[in-house]
Amino acid sequence: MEFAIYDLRLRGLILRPEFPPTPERGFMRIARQKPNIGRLDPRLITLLGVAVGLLLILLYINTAIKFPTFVKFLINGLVESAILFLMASGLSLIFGLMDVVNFAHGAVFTWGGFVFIWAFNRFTTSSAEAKDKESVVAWMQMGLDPLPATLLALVLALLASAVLGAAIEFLAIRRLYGRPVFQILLTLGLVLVLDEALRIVFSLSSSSYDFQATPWPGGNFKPSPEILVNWKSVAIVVLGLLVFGGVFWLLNRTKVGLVIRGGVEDSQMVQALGYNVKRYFFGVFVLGSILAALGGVAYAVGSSGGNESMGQLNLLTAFVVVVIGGMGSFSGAAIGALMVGLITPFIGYHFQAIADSFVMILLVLVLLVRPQGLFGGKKY
Amino acid sequence: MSHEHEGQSSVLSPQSSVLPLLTLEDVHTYIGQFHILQGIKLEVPPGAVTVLLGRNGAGKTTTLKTIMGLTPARQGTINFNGASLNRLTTYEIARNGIGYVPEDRGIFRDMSVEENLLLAARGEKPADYRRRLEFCIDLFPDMRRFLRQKAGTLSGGQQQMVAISRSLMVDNRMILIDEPSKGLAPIVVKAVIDALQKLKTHVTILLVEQNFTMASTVGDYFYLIDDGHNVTNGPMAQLIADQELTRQYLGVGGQGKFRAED
Repeated sequence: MEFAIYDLRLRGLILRPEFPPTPERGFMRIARQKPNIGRLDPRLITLLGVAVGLLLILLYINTAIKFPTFVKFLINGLVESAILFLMASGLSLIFGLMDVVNFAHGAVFTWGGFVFIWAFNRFTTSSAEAKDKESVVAWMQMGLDPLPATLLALVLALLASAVLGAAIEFLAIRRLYGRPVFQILLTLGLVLVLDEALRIVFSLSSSSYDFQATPWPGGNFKPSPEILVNWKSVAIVVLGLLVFGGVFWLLNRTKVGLVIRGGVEDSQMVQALGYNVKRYFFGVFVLGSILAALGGVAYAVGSSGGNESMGQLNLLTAFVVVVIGGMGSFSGAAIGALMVGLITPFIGYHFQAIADSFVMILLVLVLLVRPQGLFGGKKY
Repeated sequence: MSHEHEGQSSVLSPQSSVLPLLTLEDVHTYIGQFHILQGIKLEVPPGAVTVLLGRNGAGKTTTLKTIMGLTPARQGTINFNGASLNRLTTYEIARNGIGYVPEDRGIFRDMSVEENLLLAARGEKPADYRRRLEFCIDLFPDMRRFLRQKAGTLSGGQQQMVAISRSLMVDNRMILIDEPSKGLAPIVVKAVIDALQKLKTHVTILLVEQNFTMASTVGDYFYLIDDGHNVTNGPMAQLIADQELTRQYLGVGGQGKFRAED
């Protein structure tokens, strides 16, 4: 008798019209939805803009911080936002498209910054006073001015991170698509390897790694007698805007972007339309790594030097930004970065005690209202 | 993408002498531990509509997925247009000239209808894209109205139109359509039937369908499968005439009779 019941149940299972729906690949099924990648919903933007604006004005009026301080916080907040955005956008795209939670993203961020500092230091050393005249990189010591040295070093850092990202995808992650737990262990392991490699490659004796000269753009300007703005802050914010514009254009105005957005929603269907999704996975992973390295460079320039833990510190916040914005959403990453980056300095000033936990409080608040993140889909 | 065909696929009424476009031979597919397809055999003639019939869970959808390489066959051979599809992955199979309209329609909900179609027009020149778009709009005149709309906001019938149009945006030799009538109002089903009638002169269709009216109206040939096995196959007229078979497997004996006398 029992056998019969079992048999019936088995038949019931087999005789379903839709076969056991292919289980969602990927980690954090709860956060997984059909994200609204790259699309700005005007209503939400307005709402957020008003909310953030009101909050800032309230903070400003209520506590009567002086206007110059307000501007200083605003600029610091924008710089922080830009760096967070550069990191979070790559993370979000990689998660959205291939369901990989990439812990090694922070290590790529650090590597980008360090390669930049290293190359910049080489390029600004004049060959006359260089100690190193023998090695293969001695040719780099051209004694360049900060501007060309910065640009060349930036190109090198981006190339290095592209190669690093390509290697990580090609050698490791490619083999583990659809096996989320293994991916997490793998990328966590890569963090350890890459961090140790960093110490060896750059022969670090302390945790920090400094510029020999000031990278471009140095100096500052005074829009009014009491306000001092660093040019590098302006450069970082402009960089963030340019990257946002560029990637937004790529996602919304090109065929490649269409394939990526399609892949985020339903990568099987994109394959059934004849696209080799694995190739796009690779491309997006490399793009994400380049964005992370840009973030690392911006961070190094912004704080006048690198630190071996800079990647991991920013990674945690970047994850929060990604979840707030909605996993897989590019615009969400931008808005999340702005929220976290802009509000943090003010909270730090007024509520010293919760400065560190504020990001998490914000995360909890957002998830209470929208469990799928601001720009996530409707599911869950 | 060297699958340029000599002109449009033949419109001639398929005869037994015509080589089948797609053949499945002893195909076995497993999903997890379940042995779903247990030796399916199919021969799809070109230029006609072949309907795959069977009860819920008979393996119809899995057959289509197996052809597309989404649930790869563990055993057996699949040949399309003279080439083996066995070792190919989904995107290579699609590039061989097979379009796929899944049961859930597989619409990209966050994109506009136009973007859906643009994405489907893989490697097409703008002029060709416009030509194909015009063809689809002729097929589904309603679509012109919601071309700019977000696909996720469309009704089921409208989504079905987009899904079928999507498979026509490249030069596909054959399209696999999984239950186009599912969850649609009768009047919309009628529109889909009309469209498929027009389509069958352009492209070979393998249709999975539970709606007997649709199956018997658009189908030229049928394959009846059950429990992952072939039961029978033949020209559609034969099935319509065979009341016993339709009642037993499709639960529409009366309707079958009605159609036969029609």
